Order: sequence, then structure tokens, then C-alpha cells
Amino acid sequence: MVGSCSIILHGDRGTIQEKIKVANIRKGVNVMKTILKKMIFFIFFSLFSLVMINAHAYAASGFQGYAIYRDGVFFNYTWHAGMMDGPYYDSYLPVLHAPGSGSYVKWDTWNNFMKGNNFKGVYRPKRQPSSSERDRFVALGRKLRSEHIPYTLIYQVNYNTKTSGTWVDAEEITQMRCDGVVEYIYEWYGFRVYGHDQYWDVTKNSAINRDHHSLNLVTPKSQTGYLSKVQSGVPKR
Amino acid sequence: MRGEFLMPKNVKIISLIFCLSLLFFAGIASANDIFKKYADKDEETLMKDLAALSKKQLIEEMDSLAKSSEGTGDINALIPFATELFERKDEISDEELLTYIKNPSLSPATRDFFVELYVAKHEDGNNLDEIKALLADPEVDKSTKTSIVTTAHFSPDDVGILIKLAKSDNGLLAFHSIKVLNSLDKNAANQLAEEILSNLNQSSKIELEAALKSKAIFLKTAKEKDQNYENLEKQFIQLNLDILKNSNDPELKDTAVFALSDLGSKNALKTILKSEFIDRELKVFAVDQNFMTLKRILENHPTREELNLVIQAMDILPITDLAEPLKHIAGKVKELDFKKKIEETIANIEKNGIKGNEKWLDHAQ
Repeated sequence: MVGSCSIILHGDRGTIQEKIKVANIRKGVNVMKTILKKMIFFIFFSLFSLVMINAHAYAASGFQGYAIYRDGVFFNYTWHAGMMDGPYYDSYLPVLHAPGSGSYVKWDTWNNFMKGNNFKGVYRPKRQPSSSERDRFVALGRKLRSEHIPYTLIYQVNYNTKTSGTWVDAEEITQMRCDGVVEYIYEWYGFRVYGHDQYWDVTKNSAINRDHHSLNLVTPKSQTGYLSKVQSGVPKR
Repeated sequence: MRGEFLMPKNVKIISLIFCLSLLFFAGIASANDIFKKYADKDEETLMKDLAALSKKQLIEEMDSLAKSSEGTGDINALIPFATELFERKDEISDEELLTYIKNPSLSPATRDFFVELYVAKHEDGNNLDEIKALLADPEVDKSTKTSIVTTAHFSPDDVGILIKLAKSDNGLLAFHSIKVLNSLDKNAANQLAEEILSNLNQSSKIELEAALKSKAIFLKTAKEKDQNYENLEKQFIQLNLDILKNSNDPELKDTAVFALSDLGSKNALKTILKSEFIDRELKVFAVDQNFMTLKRILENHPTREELNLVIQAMDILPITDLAEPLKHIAGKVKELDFKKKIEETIANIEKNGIKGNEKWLDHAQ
């Protein structure tokens, strides 16, 4: 079709009517070219989107499984911590956190996490987790959410040392602080955050390990010193 | 003519509002004073200042901050106060702590902290009778009772009160009471779960969540003992599938998946991986938690259907522990297409796989 048109276009001899006809055809071809360009762009965009959707379907995407912090707690004496459940700040209920007394570990909106304070950054464990590992972080976070775990001021992660197994699983946790959510998820999978060489794993059932992660020995703000900063800005797409 | 000596109704209301406002702003002012007092102080100076306060001052300041922090998510502001009070826990008697715990004028956060402090003082689990007695006290609110249930240590002697609490509530108090019962008396917890699940439409979603968890724990222990296990498992899987299909509540649906995953059985895992109603993250969790179930399948002359289950699982979360057993099987498979499928799975595990987390085995049967 395009080929046959180009034969006519190259014939510039003939009557005015023929010239008008040629001009109209030329106009038509331009429209067709534009449509063709749009179609190519649309097909390319669709393929690209498909690849992106597939990538999303098979592994953690965006900032999922990374820890997030904001300031504003008691003149910045400390911060508030959470974990990205959704890929970006504008995803549906993107944050998993322990908001405080009277509530429990839950998903929340970005605004409810921020409460009008300043964002302090996205963090990850020192050892870079793979996409599959970040998948695990998100999945375990979802398990914590289903346990309706209340807040505590004393321990990052509280449990009964007498009845828990060797490793404290999500069902055995009795209370959690906001930084405990991050510490527990990362350390359950062997990503060390805060702590002495012997007592760093907050998921190991031991009164010493539990007490080692308590009160102001570690706080949400000081916890970031044991992580790597991914970026200072809000986790945008 | 009594009315002549009484204030008109509108004057009363205005006076009441005025008094309440005064109290409210006094509270705010008090919290603001504390903020001002500690503004711009580094952690070391702040802790020194707190150490210089009397016990009474510390508790008053902490409670004032707790009240101003309610609903703001800034409860972490209490950490330095909690640290200082924890240091002085032996200076606070049990009687004093019980008075604070029962005092409704203190904020819920302060009362919860004193529950924790009481239990921390009795870390060995002994002498908790007085705080546990509050569970039967009608004057103590549900939130404080929930805090005691989640924090204190219980023994088989406490089964009665826990059952009573579970039956008297349909929210978090019931949820956590049933959860404690799971470790104290699985049969009692299972009986409560049966009652809740037999009244699906009348039970609250939190009661249903507690019941699904209890049922999963009960079935897991019944696996070896109960001859009717296969039938019980089948019914439980169907119940969870029905919840997944019919419920609009995301937390209840998640709990149904976790309950299936907790069973640790091949059938439950197959159900999760096949279901179109289950999010990928939850499938990741099930594969992660049950990697040893999958490994055992491979080590026990798997059928083609079982191999397909493992292949599907490894596509969701490749785990390196399964690569060797799969290689062993691939060497025996004669059908070229299927062999190729297994080899592709092995290649994916070798490229993207992660080590299985043996912490899960702590609770596996």
C-alpha cells in the first residue's frame, strides 16, 4: 500500500487535478505514517508494560522489603521505623509498622506513617538482599500483621522465654516495638542489624538476646547506623 | 421551687465544656512544658536529667507525654522515661504497680508499661497471681486485660480464666486468650475454635482468625495420632478455601492462608499454590515455610504430580536446598520435555536461589 502510493507521488507530471489528487494522497500518507508511528509506540509500550508487570509478578519490586524511617519523635531524640510492604509510597497501604499503644503491627497509609514529619530515608541490611530475599521480608511482614501483635516500650521483640522454641516464630511474639518489626524480619533471615557478635539475633530465644535489644540500647534512630542507606528521599516510582 | 437554686441547663453545659477545655489545655500545656524542658538536649544529657527526677515526677512526665502522643505514632518518645523507670524497677513495689495498672486516669500506654514492668520484675514466672487476678476484676478495662494476657506467664491452672475471657469478648482480648490457650491446652483451644467455626456468620473476624490458627495447631499435632486426620485436613482445607473465596476481609483471608501453610502438608501446600485467590507474597511465605516438606517429597520417589508441585514452588521462590535432589531425579527422567522442565528449574535455582531457612524446622512436625 505504502509502496503503490510512493509510485504515484513520484510522478509530478500531469494536470492540476492530478496534482491535487497527489497532494491529497500525500496528506493521507502522512496521516497513515502518524497512525503507524502511534501503533508502533503502542505495541512497544504494551510489550514493555508486559515485561514490567511480569517482573512485578515474579519478584519484589520497587522498595518492597526495605526499612523506612521518619523523624519527629521527642525533638528527634528518636525516629519512627517501618517497612515497605508496597513497592512505592503511593501504593495501596504501603507501610508495615507498629504505630504504638492501643494499636498493633499493621499496614498503613503513607500519611499515617509520616504524621507530618520529615522522611529520613530508605534503608536495607548491610548485606544486599536479593529480590527473592526481599520477597521473603514482605511475606513475613504480612505474617506479623496477622498476629495482632501489640506495642511495647521495653523490648524490640518480646516473647515468653520459657514457652517459645529455639527460634521465636511470629506466633510466639507477644509484643513489638516499631524498630523490632525491622530487626525481627531481617534477622529471621540471617541479615544482622543491631547487636553484639553473640547476641545480635533477636529471633533466637534467649533472655540475654531479648534484653540486648531493649529500652534505649537500640532505638529506631540508632538502628539506622546498623543498616545501609538506599536513598534519602521518599520511595517514589 | 428547687429549680431556683439550680443553674439553668445551658449554663451547666457551658461550664462543663469550660472545665473540660481547661483540663485538656492544662494537659497539653503540661506536655508542652516537658517538650520545652528537654528540647535540644542530647541523649546523654536527657538521661542525666531524667535520672535526677523523683519517681513521682518521672511517672507524671511520662504519663503527660503518653497522653499527648496518643494517636500520633510518637509513642517512642516514652523510651527514655521507660528506660529510667526500668532501671528503678526494684524501687517500685508490686502494690504500687498494681495501683498504677488499675488507675483509669493514667493513659493506656502508661498502664501497659506498668504491666510490662510488673512482669519483668517477675521474669521467673512466679508470683504473678496478683496481676492475673485483675483478669477477673470487672473494674479493669479490656485493653489492660489484653495487655496482661499478652505479657504475663500462664500455667495450666489459668486455663479456666482464659476460656472465660475468650468467651466474654469477640475482639483482641478473645484473640490473645485463645492464642495463650494454644500453648497451654490445645484441646481446650480446639474446642473454642470448633464453637467459633460452627457459627461462622455470628463470629467476629478476629474470633475467626484465632479459631483458624488454633485449628491449624491442633491438626498439626493430630497428624500422627488421629486416624481420621486425612478427612479432618480435607475439611479444614475446604473451610479455608471457602473463606478465601467468600470473605472481603484481607486480614482474615491472609490468616486462612497462614493456617493452611502451618499445616505443613503436601495437600495444603498444593491448595495454596493452585489457588487464584491467593496473593504471590503469601505463596512465597508458604514455599519458604514448607521448603523441607518439598525436599522430603523429592527424596521419597515423587510422582509426576508431586514433581510439578515442586517445579511450581521453585518458580515462586527458588531454594538451593532442593537443587541436588532435583538433579538426582532429572538424571532418571526419560521423557525429554519433562526432563527439560526440571533442568530449567534447576538452572533457575542455581541462578536465583536462596538457602532454605532452617529456623522454620524448629516448629515443624
